Parts: sequence; C-alpha cells; structure tokens
Amino acid sequence: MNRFLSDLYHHLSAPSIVLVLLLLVVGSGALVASESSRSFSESFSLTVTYSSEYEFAYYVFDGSGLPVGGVAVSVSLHPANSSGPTVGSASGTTSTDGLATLDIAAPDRNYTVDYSVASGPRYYGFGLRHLAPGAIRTFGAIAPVEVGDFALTPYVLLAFPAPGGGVISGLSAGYYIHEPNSSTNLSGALGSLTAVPQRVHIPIAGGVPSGSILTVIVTNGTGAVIASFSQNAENPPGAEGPGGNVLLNWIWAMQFLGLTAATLIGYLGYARERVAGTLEPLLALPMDRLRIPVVRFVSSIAVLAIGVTASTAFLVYWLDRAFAIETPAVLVGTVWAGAMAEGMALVGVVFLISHLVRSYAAVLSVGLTLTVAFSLLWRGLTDWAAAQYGVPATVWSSMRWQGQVGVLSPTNAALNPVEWSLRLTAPGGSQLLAIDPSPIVAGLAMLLWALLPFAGALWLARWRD
Amino acid sequence: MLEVVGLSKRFRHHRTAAVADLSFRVAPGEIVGLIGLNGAGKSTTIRAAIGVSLPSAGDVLVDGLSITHQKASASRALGWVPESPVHDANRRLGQLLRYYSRMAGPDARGRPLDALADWGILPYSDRPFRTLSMGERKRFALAVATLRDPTYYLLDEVFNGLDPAGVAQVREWMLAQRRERHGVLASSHQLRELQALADRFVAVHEGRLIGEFSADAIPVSTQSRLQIVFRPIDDAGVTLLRSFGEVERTSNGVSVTGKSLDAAAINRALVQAGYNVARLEATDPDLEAHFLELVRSQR
Repeated sequence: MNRFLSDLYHHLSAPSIVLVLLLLVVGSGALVASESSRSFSESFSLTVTYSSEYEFAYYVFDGSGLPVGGVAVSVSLHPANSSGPTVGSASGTTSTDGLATLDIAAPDRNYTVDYSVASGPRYYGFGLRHLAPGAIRTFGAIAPVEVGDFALTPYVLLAFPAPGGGVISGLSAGYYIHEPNSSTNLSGALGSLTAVPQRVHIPIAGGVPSGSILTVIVTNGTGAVIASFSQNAENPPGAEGPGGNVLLNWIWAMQFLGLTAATLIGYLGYARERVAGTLEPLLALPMDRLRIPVVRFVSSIAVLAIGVTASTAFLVYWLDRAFAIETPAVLVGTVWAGAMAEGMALVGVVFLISHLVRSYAAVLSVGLTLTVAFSLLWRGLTDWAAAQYGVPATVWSSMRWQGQVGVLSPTNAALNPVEWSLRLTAPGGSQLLAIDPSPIVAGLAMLLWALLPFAGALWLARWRD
Repeated sequence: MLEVVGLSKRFRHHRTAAVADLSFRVAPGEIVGLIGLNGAGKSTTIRAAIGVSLPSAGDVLVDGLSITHQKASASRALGWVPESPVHDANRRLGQLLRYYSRMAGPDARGRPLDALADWGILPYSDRPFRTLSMGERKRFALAVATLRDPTYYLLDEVFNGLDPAGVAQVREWMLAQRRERHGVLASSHQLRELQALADRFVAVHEGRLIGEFSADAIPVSTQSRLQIVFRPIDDAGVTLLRSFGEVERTSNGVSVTGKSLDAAAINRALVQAGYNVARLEATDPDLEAHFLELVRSQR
C-alpha cells in the first residue's frame, strides 16, 4: 500500500474524521428528510377579464416542467379586487398531460380568481390561464418553471407539454423585458431553443431583474407566433417553481456544513497534529519534509470529496424525491466542483495557519476568520468594480442577490462556481463589462483559488519548523 | 559518518541561539554521549540532526547526505527516540506502528508488531497511546525507532522514565548496536549510565561546544567521594571522618569528599574506633566532575 493510501486509511479510521463525515452526510440527509416529508398546498389570486367564450385552463407541472396528472384543483370567481360573494366556482382533476379544463358560468366582466391545488407530498408548480384559445392551446400550457431567482444560472425554464408527449423542436424565441423604473426595455432574440421533451431551457444573459416584466414569445420556423407568456418576474402568479429555492437552500446549508467540515478536516488532518507535535514521528521517517503536508492535503481532500459527493447525492435525491426535478449532470458537477474548490481552499488555509500559530483555538478561529475575510474582500472588490461602471448600488445589490451577476470568485454570495465570469449590464441595457473566460481559463482560475492557500502552506513548511 | 557541521538554531522571539556553530561527529560502531545542563541545546541538536527541526545555519550530514537538502535519503540512515514521545493519543499502539511502518516505505521491517515484542509492550498493542506510562511511551518510541534498521540512532534522554529492567535492556541494546557497527548519539543527564556506555562525549553549554573528549581521556579527578554506612552514626564518628575530608550526612550514612581518599584507611579507622561498617562504596564522579569543571570554566 503506498503512502497516500496509508494516510487516507489512517484518516478515515480516525473517529473524529468519521464524525465530520457524519456531520456532512447526516446534515444533508436530515435536510432531505425534513423537506421530503413536507406536504404542500398553495393558492393564489389573479385578476382576469373573464370571457365566457373560453374556459379556465389549469396546468400543473413538477420541478422539471413535466405535467402531473391526478392533482385536485379548484377555481372560484369573485367581484374584481374584492373577496365578496363567490360568483361561480369549479373544481377538477388534472389529466395525464397536467391540464384541467374548468368551465364557469358567469357574466363577462373583470373578476378576481382564487385558484389552488390540493395538499400533496410534493410542491408542484401550477398556473391558471384564461386566454383566447389558439396559440397556447395548441401546445397546452406554457409556464415558466423558474425565473431569475434561481441563483445558479439566470434562465427561464418553460414547460411545453406537447400533445401526446411529443418532442418540440425547431422553435425560436425572442424576449422582451420591461423594467417599471426604466424608460427603456431590454429585448433581444433568444435564438434557437434547445428543446428536450416538453421542456425548454432559455438562458438569458444578465437574467431578469427583480421587478421587471418578462415576456417570452415563441415562434415557429416561419416566424409565426405560436406561444407567448408574460409575467412579473418577481411574483409570477400561480407559477412559482420551487426548484431554485430548493437548490439555494441546499447551497446555503452546504455552505455552512461545508465550511465547518472543511475547517475540521484541515484541522484534524494536519493542523491539530502539527500543533500537538504528532507529525514529528513522521518527519523522522525517510521522506521529504514537504511530502507530509502533500500527503495529508491529498488525503484530506479525498475525505472532503467523500463528504461532498455524499451530500451532492442527497441533493439529487432530494430534488427528485421531493420535487421531481431532474438535475442536469452539468449543474450537479459544477456545484460539486465549486464546493470542492471552496473546501480545498479552506483546508489549505487551515494548513497555512498551522504554520504560523501553534494554538488549537487560533488555528480554528483564524482559519474561519480568514475565510470570511476573503469573502468580504471579493464582495468589496465587486462593489468597487460596479461603482466604477456606474451601476446603482440598489440595482447591483439586487442583481448580485439574485445570482444574476457571476463574480470572479467562487465565494460570492450565491456561491457561483459555474459562472466564473463578471458581467455588468446597465439598467438601460448596454453592456458595461463582460469578462467571460473560457471554461479552461475558468477551471484554471478555480484550481488556482483552491490550491493557492495550500501552496502558501507548502512554502512555509519548506522554510519554517 | 554522522557529521554535525557548524549547526546553529535560533528560535523566533528568542534573544540567544539555542545552538550556535556546533560541530562534532559520530562514527559507525561508536556511542557518543551528548551532555549538557538543562537548556544547553542537546534536544535542539538532536531534533535538527533527525530533520524534525530546520537549522538556522550549518547542516547535518549523514554519510555525506544533507539532512536539510537531501532529507529523504539522509533520514534512511537515522532512527530517533525523542525525550518526550508524542503520538496521536487516541490511536492504539498496533495501529500507530503499522501506520509508521507503511509510511516508512520499503525499509520498514515486515512484521511491525515484532518491534513491540522486542521492547516488551506487545500486550499493550490494543491500548491507546494516551494510556501508557512514561516508561511505556519510551519503550514505544524505541519500537518506532527500530521499525527500520538505520545506521545511526539519536537517543534523547532515553533512560528517562524507564524502570530498572528497561534501563538494563536499553544499555544492552546500545552495546549491541555498537557491536553491529551502528552509531549512537545519546543525550542524558544520567552521566553514570552514559559513562559506562559511551566511547566519546560531546559537552555543550548554552548552545556551544565546550568540550569533546573520549572516555579514556576523562581526567582523573583530584576529588573522590565515598559513601559510608556505619553504626552507630554519631557525632564522634562524623568528627573522625572529617579528618579525611568534607563530610555530609545522607539518609542512611555519610558521604566523604576529599583528595585521594584512602578507603582502606577510613575503614580501618572506623573499625578501630568501635564502629560497625556496613557498606563503604567509592563513587566515580569523574565525568560529572569533569563536565562541571568545563561548565565552570565558561563562566
């Protein structure tokens, strides 16, 4: 058995390391279990101009935009902007294509519509349409599953339950974003849609600013409008997809668990032993001085990888079990890589600190403090960059909070290891700054970030006791 | 040859160097005693020689290989017993020894637990390190040091904490190493033990070399000492002994220190005066006296 495997085995057989892994795995598992056992029900209100010529189209979909049948739904009409007496109501159950058609006999006028889905084990997205038959009806419901607030990637995921479950392809789309506070609007072509069965993923550069109105128009090959929808990006009525929030919650949880676990892994794997002097028997063995921190770092990262992989697996299971969200492998991979990069950097920081101070408490506290300081440093730098380009602070804050700006750091508020890019777009629509490194450059930058603290630790190990 | 060449070690935040420009050699088949007062730099020297601590200046050459720049190769010829062995407190001895054996690479012996048996602690192989006594820890350190078969052993206060059986075993083991052409550098405050074993001595004081001499070259002291147990011990007897030298009362007798004490004459005088002499033992203070003389000469 070579030295790396020996050290890895030594690591994994330590009760304290097992406890750290349990912290990650059980923590993630508890998160999954608590969410999976939750029962959801939801209701919304919408003001519509009612026409008796066409019925209400109720559509229910899961986290992946796939239609969900067998869900009890109900609709009731009240005088507009009033919760007065019910003018009419209807209820039904969605069919296999996720649709329920509900007819209500009532005079044509403006009404407030209350609509809801019954309680169920999963949080479904749902929506209600009361529009002229034709375009939408052709394709069934068109629904934004996730818009803007999904911090990892700014995009719109539309559900296109095609008749008979067929594949939609050959579509193109344009978008139009109206911001109430701005006289100008963002608009542009989305290009050809990447169509997968019954779902369309439309990345939008810069995302959809909070408070704006997003309109998506889908056309066929001849330019004819075949579907469209329009909604307030901040509060899409009746069409909230839970996926983004789920993932964000997990990331926040992972950030806490991951930071703690990475600190402890670095501490238990090297720093504690350096402070205690228990690495000295190894130093007396026939090996280079640097081999010990290298072997310990590699085995610490292997331990970290076990924890992060287990936790990521829980994430995928959670999204599928609780919300029927099919998680793209690329997204899972990038989240995994980002968490690993963060963890490696923190493990390296703890290694580094142990070469500067000889105190258990100091190693732990300084390591965590430095991590927070790095995050604040990146935030300060990006704030400064935004100010240099004249982006108002409130807009900048909103954009960053919603993950619509990727920052050249994996430690930004949204923990965005995917983007590794800096894009600033003024409210007027003009591109102020765009740094979009190639995946190779971005990967190297991430690796540099992950390994830089450890390189510092190696340098110290070479020259100091 | 193990060569300490101009070794200096200065710790941060310390005014003076722990070791300053120290040079000496240990040859295969030789036991060298490293002696000095507390804080003289003995442990610092050994830690730098084994590669645990980095020298501020100078180097340690192991058969020509630098411990600073060619550590992996140089360390193959070195084994270490630290003054206070520290290992992961919660690990069992067997676990630790197997781990060190794997990390030591191909030089390690095939059956690491045999090293525990060699030092009489095989029954403790399932015990966590934290439960060991000081002597047992020292035995474990010896087992770790003998996992391989290095050319040179660096022993830091190896007798500390050992019971008499352990001291005897270490003594025999050191002599065996000398016979097998291993070099041993041993620091100790137990000068009588060292004097019985070492071929040469390196005396350090305040980090500096103050003397290097062979066991044969220890000057015969002008002072000698006798430990005498006689009955009854009374003032007349003490007064009688004062005619031979300085007298100190001990727990069960007296000690007499003087120039060229004649043990036979003292014994005869006590018997003639009516005392029963139970024991009369000449101590050999030569190494200690010589070392202390060297230290005094530095002041």
